[in-house]
Amino acid sequence: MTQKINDFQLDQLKEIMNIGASHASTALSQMINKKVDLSVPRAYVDEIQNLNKFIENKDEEVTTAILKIYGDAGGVMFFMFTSGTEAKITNILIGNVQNDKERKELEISAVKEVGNVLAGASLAAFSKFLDMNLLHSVSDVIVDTIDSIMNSVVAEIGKTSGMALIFEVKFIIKEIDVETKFLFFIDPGATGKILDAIEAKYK
Amino acid sequence: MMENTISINTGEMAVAKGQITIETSGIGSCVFVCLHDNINKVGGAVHAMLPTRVAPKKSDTIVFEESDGVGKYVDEALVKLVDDVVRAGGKKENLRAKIVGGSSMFKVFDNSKIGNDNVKAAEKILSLLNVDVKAESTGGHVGRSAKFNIGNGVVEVMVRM
Repeated sequence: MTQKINDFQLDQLKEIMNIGASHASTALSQMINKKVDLSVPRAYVDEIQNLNKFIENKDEEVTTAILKIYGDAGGVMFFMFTSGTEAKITNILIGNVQNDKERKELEISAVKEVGNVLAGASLAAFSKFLDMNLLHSVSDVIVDTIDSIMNSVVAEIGKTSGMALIFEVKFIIKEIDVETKFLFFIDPGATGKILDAIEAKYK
Repeated sequence: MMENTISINTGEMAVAKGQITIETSGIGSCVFVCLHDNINKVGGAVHAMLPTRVAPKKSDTIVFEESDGVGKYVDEALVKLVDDVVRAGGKKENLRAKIVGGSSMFKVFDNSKIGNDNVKAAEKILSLLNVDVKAESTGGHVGRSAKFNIGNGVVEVMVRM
């Protein structure tokens, strides 16, 4: 049986993303004590080899916190900081560090921690809204180009499915001119479960 | 210079003859396999994502319709690529392969090792097809991009630092 996800279902999923992303952005806002604006979620629902059409600025180097999601619905969560923005965030969180080597380590550690806090915040919102049990792994930080990172994650998803479901929300912090991306890759196997949970809630 | 360059994305392949460069970026756990016939100056390359095709699990999943996507899988892609290069004027016995990519990018996925599986799959299928692997730039934890010059068979690999 083959069944495509319809527009109504996609809207429902986007709405769920909105809830998760807004909790994450609130957490970020409190962490750095600055106003954080959110973009409208952008969705990718397609076969994995068409991913390149979805990726913007693919050659850009980003510092990314990546977390695996376990529990009732699986997936992968990303927080992407473009080159330079992680330094601004670190400055706010830890203060100015002169030593170059030490600073790089602190930046990685800060991004890791931001990833942990934001993932926790958004997952708590998801769990509460969907009445699901969701957990996240420790966060891992990698610095690489956007397309290397995205392709590698999608390859992991591709082991079990030819399709990928990705949601992207941008966090914009105007005050310090920083834009970060929050990406959520939903395990295609979990999509049905999430939609069922939404349906159960409104029955 | 630019008009002699073919850019391929993940899951795509290209075959060319003469002074042409095939380039790709964003090779993480994926592999970029280049085949070259140095005598006839014919070559081809593929940017494949997974070792082999797996049937989607039938469960409570929403199953999506899938097109063939032959360049996505290392095994299927290489069989087709060898075929295409021969059809473009290459001789199978002249073919030499170069493999780029197959790094393991994330610690959180450590138990899966797709990158390594991709390289193994490429080596295995190439040995079945009797194509020698001449050089490799694989493994590690970094993304790569590569340029393959069909005129002389040189593969230039850029590693992000």
